[in-house]
Amino acid sequence: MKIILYCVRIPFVQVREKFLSLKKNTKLDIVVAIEEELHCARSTFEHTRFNLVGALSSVEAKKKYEFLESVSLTMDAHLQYFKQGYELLHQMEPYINQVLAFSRRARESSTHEQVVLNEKMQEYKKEVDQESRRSLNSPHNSSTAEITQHSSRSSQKVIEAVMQSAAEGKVETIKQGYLSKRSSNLRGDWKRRFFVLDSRGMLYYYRTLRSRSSFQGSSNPLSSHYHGGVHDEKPVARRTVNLLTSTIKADAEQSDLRFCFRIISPTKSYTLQAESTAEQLVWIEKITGVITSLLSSQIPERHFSMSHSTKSRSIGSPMSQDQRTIEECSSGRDFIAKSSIRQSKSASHLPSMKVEKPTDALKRIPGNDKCADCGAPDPDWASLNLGILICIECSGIHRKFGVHISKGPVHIKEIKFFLPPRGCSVTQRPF
Amino acid sequence: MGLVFSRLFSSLFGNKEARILVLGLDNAGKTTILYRLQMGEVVSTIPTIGFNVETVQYNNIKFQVWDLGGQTSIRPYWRCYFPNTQAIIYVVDSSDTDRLVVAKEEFHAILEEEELKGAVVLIYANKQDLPGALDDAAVTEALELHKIKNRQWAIFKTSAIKGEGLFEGLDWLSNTLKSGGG
Repeated sequence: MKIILYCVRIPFVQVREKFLSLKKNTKLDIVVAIEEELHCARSTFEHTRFNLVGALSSVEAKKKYEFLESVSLTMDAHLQYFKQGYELLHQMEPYINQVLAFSRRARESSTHEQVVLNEKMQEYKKEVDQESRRSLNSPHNSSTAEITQHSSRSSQKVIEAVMQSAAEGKVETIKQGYLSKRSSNLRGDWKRRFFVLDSRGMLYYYRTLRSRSSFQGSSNPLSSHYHGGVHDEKPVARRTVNLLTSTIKADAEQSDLRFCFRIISPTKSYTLQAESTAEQLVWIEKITGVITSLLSSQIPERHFSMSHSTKSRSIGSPMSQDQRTIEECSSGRDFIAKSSIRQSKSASHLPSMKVEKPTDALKRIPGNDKCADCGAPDPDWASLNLGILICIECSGIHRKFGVHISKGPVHIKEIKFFLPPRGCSVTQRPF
Repeated sequence: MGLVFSRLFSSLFGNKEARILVLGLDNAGKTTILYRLQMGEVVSTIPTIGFNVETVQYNNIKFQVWDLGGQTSIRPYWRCYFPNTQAIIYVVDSSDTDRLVVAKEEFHAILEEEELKGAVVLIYANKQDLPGALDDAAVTEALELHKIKNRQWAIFKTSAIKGEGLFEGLDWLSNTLKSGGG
């Protein structure tokens, strides 16, 4: 605005100077023209100046109300905005509280989990440490065998229980994992195979885990330890090792590799290698347990099939008690109270439901819940002349004495006839 | 051709392999005998559930000795191991006179087996160290060994604990097997 004013003012000033520089002798018409020009310039200038003033004053006025008006409008808008927001958020308040509570709980559980996980990791670390130390300390087979023997006794009962449940039609995996298997060809190279030992007493293996899962149609068979899925006979029979007539040895023939063990059956010998001493021990222990319970639970058929595949025979099939008694008696070219055999033979023709199993009768007697010599729980062996129950280790000692001191000892399952004692309940006595 | 040569070679210079079953009633001393033969020492044993198998090298013969458990309940499984057996070692507890009848019955049942027709039989009258143990003549009588026909057999008095008689028996066995008795 000022610039305009300035621009207008320049010609006005020029004209005024021109007018003032006129001399006395100038012609009158020129004077008049310049006077007019000056008048014109002045009026333009004045006009512009008024315009300017008018504009300025209008601005000044506008300042007074328009600005305030807009400010107050803005404030109002803000007020509305925040009010709406408040209402909206107010509605959401319970939800927010819920979310808060949930998050607090989640945080607590996560910290708890973290703690538990840490503890477990520490435990596991300790375990691994101990294991590695143990495997370093005991590289010899003799000690391995000793450990196996002891631990297998304790876990055998467990395996037996699992196998019992297998007889009722439930198949559980006792142990599974990768083992290296020495192939039976001339080169004898080692191949990694996935082995499964189940509660029917079957040990079978697959080339890979994948081929196994594709057979069973389950996506991840390792996800649960016990998968109750019934195995089809087909994949099972692929490579089945018959454990019933097999034994296990904690070494390898023609190889000095560590962690080895052999499963020897009448027709074939499998040399296997675990990945650590602990794994080796576990495998040996489980397989030993399975063999033991297979042998003790099975009553062999009289015309025992000579085929070494387990395909045709059902392992661990429950046999009725009558059948068992008859079976025992008919195969009984056997001692154990000779006179009693005749009696039990006649007894077996009766419905045997009424006759209590000698095993149960024996176990029921007070004092027979533990080994008469060492006190180990649940003894399974009986000295026939001493009339005591002992554990398998002590029965080995008893055998050393000779039959003139301790007769038997026999497994209590082989006792077919038993007269309960009259009155006397003391089973532990020195001799 | 190479196979024929190697067979000829091994038959000339020994190094035969023989599969031998050790059988007998429970607590006859089978496992003790096995480890006495294999390691030359007396090990403490417990009743064998299943079996033990060891390789014993003696007189240029590699004996693969299978010691099968003798419990009544596992005796029926013996027959699984019968195929390809060259010899049976039948162990008797000479001091357990009560059960000699049972031992005799089991023994003659084994001899009936078709798959063991060609196997030679060595009988150990074991536990000679115990009081009241019968001698070999009495055991021969009790087991009715004179009934054996078409088969080579021998009986030896043994004590697995003292290590007596075992290797004499094995001598007989290796000589018999070498002369084609198996």
